[in-house]
Amino acid sequence: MNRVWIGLLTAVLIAACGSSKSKTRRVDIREDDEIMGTGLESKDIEDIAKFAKSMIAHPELTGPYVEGVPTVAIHPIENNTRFDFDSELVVRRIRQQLVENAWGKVRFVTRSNREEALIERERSGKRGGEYTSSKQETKTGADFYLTGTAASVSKVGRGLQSDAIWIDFALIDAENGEIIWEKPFKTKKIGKAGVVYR
Amino acid sequence: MRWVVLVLLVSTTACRSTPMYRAPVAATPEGTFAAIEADGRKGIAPEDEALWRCELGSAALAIGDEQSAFRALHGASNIMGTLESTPRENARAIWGAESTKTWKGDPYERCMNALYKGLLYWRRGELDNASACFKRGLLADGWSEAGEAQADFAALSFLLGWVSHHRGKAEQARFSFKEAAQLQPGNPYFQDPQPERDNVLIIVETGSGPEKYADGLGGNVARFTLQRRADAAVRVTAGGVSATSAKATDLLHQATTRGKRVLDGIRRGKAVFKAGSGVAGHVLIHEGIRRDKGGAVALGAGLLVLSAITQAQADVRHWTSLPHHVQIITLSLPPGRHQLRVQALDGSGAPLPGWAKTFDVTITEDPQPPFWIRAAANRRIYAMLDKTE
Repeated sequence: MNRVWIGLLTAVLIAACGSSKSKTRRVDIREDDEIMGTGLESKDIEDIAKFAKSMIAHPELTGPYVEGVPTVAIHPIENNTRFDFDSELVVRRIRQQLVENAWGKVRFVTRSNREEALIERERSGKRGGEYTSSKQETKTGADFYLTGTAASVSKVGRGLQSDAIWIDFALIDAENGEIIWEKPFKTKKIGKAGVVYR
Repeated sequence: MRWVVLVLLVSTTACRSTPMYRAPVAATPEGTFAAIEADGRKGIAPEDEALWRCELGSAALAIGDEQSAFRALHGASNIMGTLESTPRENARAIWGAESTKTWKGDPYERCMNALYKGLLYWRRGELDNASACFKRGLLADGWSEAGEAQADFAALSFLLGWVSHHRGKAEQARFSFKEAAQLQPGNPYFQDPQPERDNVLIIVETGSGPEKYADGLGGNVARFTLQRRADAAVRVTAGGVSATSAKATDLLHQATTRGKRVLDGIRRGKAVFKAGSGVAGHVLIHEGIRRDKGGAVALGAGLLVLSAITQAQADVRHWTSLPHHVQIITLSLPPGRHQLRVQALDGSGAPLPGWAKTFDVTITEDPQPPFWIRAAANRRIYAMLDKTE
């Protein structure tokens, strides 16, 4: 009888000491995974890019009375959340969606952080008549600005973590600062700390 | 039969190897960085990867390699950022050794990861991401459960205030400065922050940070001690201006006000069980042999096995290269080239001989990204200053 016990214990211990194999698998970029956090995930970035394209249908961009091809400058997203993220990646994904859906009716340019300083100068210039809209050449070349501002409400407590994130997009007329289109992206996630981390 | 099930359960989890990464220390910071990097090439257990990355990040900061530091700390924060765990990971850490769980650091370590990342983002000109990191750090401190010790990491509050000022977020800046002043009333820079006037902000680190060790029955209690107490401060002199650093955050205080954790009770229970089952096993075997009772011997042997494989020791992995104190200096320097002399001071404010260094810095018209200075334990001074070094 004792031999049976010893044999069983030995087998269990050997099995326990063996390494478990992990298997890498390919998943859809819009799929949530097991190690997802409460910040912006790949699915959110894809959703942001998709939803921004609804801007294209705005009559001031692609309507019948638009003369020439307007240019939209896409600004970096201003991050006021508690999550650091690659703003350029988000902007790039938005730009790709917009370009794909604009069919040449709208031109897009991106603005880096450094170039942002030029914007106010350009806006003042347009107001003062130095530059004009799409019918004429402009130095910095934008008729509209697409801006995004990310903000969040974050909480922790009782082993839980909750983050609500809003990214508010606005299309602004470069000449008069008028907001001609606005849409928020919203997401909220709640995570629970594992018992071993509480 | 019940105890057989218990044996099966415990043995399937307890016999895992227990990774315990500890970063090597070489004679020079370059040597330390190379040795930690070499550890990575040899292979780091997934459970220790975040810890290894944090140590690599600290070593990179010491040699002024901002890109490597950022890469390492960013990789670590991706792991430390979510505190979720799988049932398998829970089972392993509860039934087996706690150190089998993925290291994600204590709140003070997550705060320091956020502080360093924020500093590096700021120096790259990404002020909004820097601000995000300081906010994340403050929230990480909120995981501490010791009541009033929650979210009391004054250095992060002050840095959030300073970066918010430069982002034009006046309300956030005011709120954060007020918070920092309340948390650290003895810090003169916090009582009267002057981001409009002072164009130089220096984050100073002194002493060697908290060291975690196992104590109590079977080492089930995690305690902290200091590797080396903080030297009182650092004085910087440049362009005829002199300023002394003031304490912003004491990491030992942060580490020891973490509060109770679920695993503390579990480890205590395991330690008692380990001791009790060991004694009971010995008694049963002894009595079983004396009275010729095979069943008692088998039961005693089973208890001994259980006792042997029960691991009650606390997980003592920690970020070894953190400082004891995070301190702050703000000062105003005229634009141009300056010699910046950094002098370590003792508790009475007297200069510590042989512990000083002079750097060349260029102050521009634009707001400077923050400088970082470390008065290291080996009586050296490491720094990340302007980009023209």
